[in-house]
Amino acid sequence: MVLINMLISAISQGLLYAPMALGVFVTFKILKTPDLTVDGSFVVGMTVCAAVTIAGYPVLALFAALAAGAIAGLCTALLQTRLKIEPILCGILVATGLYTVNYAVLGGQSNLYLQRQVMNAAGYPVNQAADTVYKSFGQLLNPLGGQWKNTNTQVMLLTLGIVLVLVVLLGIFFFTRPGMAIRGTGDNEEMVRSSSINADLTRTAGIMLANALVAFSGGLLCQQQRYADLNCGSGMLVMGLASVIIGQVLGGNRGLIVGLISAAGGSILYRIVLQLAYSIDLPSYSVKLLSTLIVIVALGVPLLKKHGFKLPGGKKA
Amino acid sequence: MNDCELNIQNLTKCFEKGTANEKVALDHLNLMVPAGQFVTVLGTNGSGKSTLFNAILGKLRPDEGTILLGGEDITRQKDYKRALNIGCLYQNPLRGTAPDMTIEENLALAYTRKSSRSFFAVNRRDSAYFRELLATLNMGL
Ligand SMILES: Nc1ncnc2c1ncn2[C@@H]1O[C@H](COP(=O)(O)OP(=O)(O)OP(=O)(O)O)[C@@H](O)[C@H]1O
Ligand SMILES: [Mg+2]
Repeated sequence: MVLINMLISAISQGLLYAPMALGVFVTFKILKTPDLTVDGSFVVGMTVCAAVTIAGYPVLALFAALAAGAIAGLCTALLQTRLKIEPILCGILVATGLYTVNYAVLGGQSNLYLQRQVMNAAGYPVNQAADTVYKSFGQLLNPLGGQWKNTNTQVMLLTLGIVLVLVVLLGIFFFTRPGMAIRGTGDNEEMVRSSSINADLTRTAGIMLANALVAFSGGLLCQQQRYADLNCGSGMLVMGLASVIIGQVLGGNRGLIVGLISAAGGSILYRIVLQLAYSIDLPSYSVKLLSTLIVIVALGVPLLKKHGFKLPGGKKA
Repeated sequence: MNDCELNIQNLTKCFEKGTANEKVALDHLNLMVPAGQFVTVLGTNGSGKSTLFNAILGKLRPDEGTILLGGEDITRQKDYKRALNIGCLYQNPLRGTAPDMTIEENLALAYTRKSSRSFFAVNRRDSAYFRELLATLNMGL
């Protein structure tokens, strides 16, 4: 039972971060341009979502997170396409600038709990937890009793539904005209331009979409954990990349739909791997080093393999 | 003279102006091509053929001169806008294709400018047309 609960919790975490992995997939695998805005746009999704949730609109809050992420992406895209600044630097610039924005959205503090002060019957101010989509969903399932009452199960089910919808929508979108133009832009920008498509526009749309997904993930996590924290974003890109790479190792290079599913699945598997690492008593702060190692190994293996094969090959010739 | 389809006047392009490597690739070039004419441009290495085509395609800005296409001045028009009416086949086929997409998607992408406006990029009508054209190549596609 403990094991199943751990697994459910790991899967829930993976699903919460899956939109972020999908966003990283869009920039790294589709646009083929690394985008470092992620660390900032994840938190902007979180903070904006927190603010709107506390105001009493949990569903609207998730859409606000999407929009905030898209705006962050727009800033990065404008730096890339208008000012021709190096893409990596664009992301760092926007993410750094966003730190101030995020601080301000949280009202000048580094974290914020999803609660608000109300007066109780006796006239004293008390903190009341703000409504979240997970809370409402839980109220819906609680009467069923049993495993349905388990918070982790509820989080897993709702997030699974959301992620499935996202994957289907993205899968459809990338086969429409604008979607295919975005894919073409990453594949061969010159060809897209000579097909009379404004590649700056398609690139901008792609970066906005990616960061909207990342921020949406931040929003989901914020509602699930009931607080927003400015430090949640650091290392996010590396975690997303690790998920995408794990997904690719399993799913292989088999087209866009498989790629999208693999990215989301990679996020789940990544969390399961982390959970296993914790269960052999690795401290929780080892996450980042672990993620970094996964990415380095995954990116380095093809080259090492090539060198490995070169030596015997060279002897033969 | 004005009914020429492509009309290039005084086109000049100088690379690295003011340096020791200064190179005048195009020197007040005039070229008029009537509609329906098939033209071949010949020249030694480095004589400026690629520079001329890049100027027509909008890949580089000329220093001087004007380019008219069908009577419209396109000298300062963005490259993707003029691509609506200019086709280009590259020396290296890799430059004109997207490697991670299927042949059908490549064709659909390249055909974007003239195709019917459909929701999905690959649609039945265009696909049938591509199939018909590909069949004439007898490559089993
Ligand atoms: N970006 C550039 N910077 C500096 N010089 C350039 C640049 N592009 C071309 N040139 C110079 O301009 C001249 C014309 O070059 P261009 O490429 O147009 O020649 P070409 O006729 O296409 O030659 P080839 O037959 O080798 O393709 C050459 O001397 C070349 O060195
Ligand atoms: Mg040439």
